Amino acid sequence: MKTTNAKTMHPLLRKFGPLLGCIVFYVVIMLLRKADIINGYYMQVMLFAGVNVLMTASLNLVNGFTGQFCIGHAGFMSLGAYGAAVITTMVFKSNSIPEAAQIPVFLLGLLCGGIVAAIVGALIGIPSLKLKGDYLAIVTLAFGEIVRALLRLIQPIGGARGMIGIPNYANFFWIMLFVVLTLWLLRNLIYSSYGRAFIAIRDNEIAADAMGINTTKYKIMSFCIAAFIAGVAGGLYAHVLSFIQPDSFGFVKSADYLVYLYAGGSGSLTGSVVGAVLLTILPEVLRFLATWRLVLYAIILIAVMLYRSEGLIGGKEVPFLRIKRSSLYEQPLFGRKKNGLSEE
Amino acid sequence: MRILEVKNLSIQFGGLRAVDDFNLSLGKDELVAIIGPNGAGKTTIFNMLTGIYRPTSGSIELEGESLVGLKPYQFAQRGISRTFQNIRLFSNASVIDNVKMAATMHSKDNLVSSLLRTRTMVKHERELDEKVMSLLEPLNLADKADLLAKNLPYGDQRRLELARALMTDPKILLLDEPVAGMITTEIEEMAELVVRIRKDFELSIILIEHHMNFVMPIADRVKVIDFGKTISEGTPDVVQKDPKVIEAYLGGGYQNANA
Repeated sequence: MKTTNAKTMHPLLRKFGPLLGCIVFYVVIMLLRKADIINGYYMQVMLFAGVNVLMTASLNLVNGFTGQFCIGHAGFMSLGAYGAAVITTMVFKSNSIPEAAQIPVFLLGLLCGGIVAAIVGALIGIPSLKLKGDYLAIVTLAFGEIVRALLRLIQPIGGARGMIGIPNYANFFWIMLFVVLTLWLLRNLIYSSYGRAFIAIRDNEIAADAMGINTTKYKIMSFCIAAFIAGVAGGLYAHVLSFIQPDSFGFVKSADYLVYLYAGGSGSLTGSVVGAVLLTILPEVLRFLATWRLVLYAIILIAVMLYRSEGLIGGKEVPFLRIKRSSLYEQPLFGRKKNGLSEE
Repeated sequence: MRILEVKNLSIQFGGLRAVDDFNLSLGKDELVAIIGPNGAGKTTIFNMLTGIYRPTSGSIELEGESLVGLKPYQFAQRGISRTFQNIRLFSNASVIDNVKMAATMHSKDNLVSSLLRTRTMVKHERELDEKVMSLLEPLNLADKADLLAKNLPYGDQRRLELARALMTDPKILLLDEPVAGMITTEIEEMAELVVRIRKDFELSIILIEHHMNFVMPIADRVKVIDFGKTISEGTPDVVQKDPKVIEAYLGGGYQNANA
């Protein structure tokens, strides 16, 4: 009896361990916040780190797993940010939303932001991804600047001054929920026929084509999924900061995400998490250096690229973000019971 | 019933007619070899038969259906698969994933079930995994299933390309120099393997090769190409004795082109 017990405990723990870890992490952070060991400023840095993880992980899908080169990812973020903010502050007037409706409105806003970004992603992805090569890089570079310029011109959403009074719904709970959910979905996607098709295109587009993979379709799919996630991340960003302006989503921001991606390790979800979190925190930690901090930041990046050109975590994944082949042959944990958890 | 009918296939790159009036009628389970000196246009023929190049003129019909103008992936989905002269594996993916990637078009899982990793999706994945392992087993790649493709020795990479091509479930397999760079014993093994695959999978095979001791024992028919033109055709014995072929290989090639 005891041995069977131990056997069933182990996969259970392995399966729900990461979830348990997330809950413990959340509770610890909330307790530390309550005790004011984590002050408001630390908290905000953590929220931005979460948004940046979403941005970097989605960029990783396009650049790291599908082998395309998108350099205007902040453009999708701005579309999502404005899309979501328009829903929560203009369609529904934020200060008159009843308490109970706040969360549904917030989630609707994020969804709309994501959809807007994904549609625009399809519009620019379809013509440029039909071609092989670096066209996407040029098109996305231009796209990022065009979006910024257009947003500056639209007066109802604040034009160049930006949009204020966005409710700060995106607290630590929502950010963490979206990060964990997105990483889980992306992991599932990467270890499916879709993910294999993406990786095949990255590794050898001609061979992928010759093996019956509709490369254009999969490239567009990868690009739109990434745009959607970036849109949601933008929506979260708007609801962390309560204020957005077109110029905060310029090329510099897109370049930041490229840096997070390649410093962390492209083609590794763990790398995206590590890259985004470390490099969001690093400039804040270096603040005591005043004007010298960006110099040191750059030096650290150069050192990373020199000594670990594949990125800090290049080519590796933590167990939660990896699915081993052997897991295909494991017995399902809950038998054939009609259990809501069995699809987990 | 002929499975593949290729008629008057030609392609022109600027002023160069790389392949001129190529004809091929391939029967079911037949093995045809295309030989010829370097630069004769053999790989160009393959690139047209797999949709990478669009022919300037001529027709390609697979079981009566015209394929000209389709994209490479559509050629593969209709049943023409290939290996490459310079190996093109998915080098940063594992051996087993390389083969699974070639089954993408047969996948029954949609985006939602893949994102949620439903139980049905896991079941499909398990079935695929078992199928691929049973394919890797006879190719001596089963124990290397989890290695990265780029870390395999050369001979294994060649066999992996073969396994990958088979996974698309082809009717016709095109092998572009399958024994290039191999030593004699490896060449013999590959010849046995090609014969076995042809029998087990009931495939028609077209292969390009330079090694006559590889081609001659296994080919039903041989076509000899030089400067884009077919200069000889027939059973291996006939072709080997054709003076035009000997001339093309041993010298005087340009006179043939003018002839």
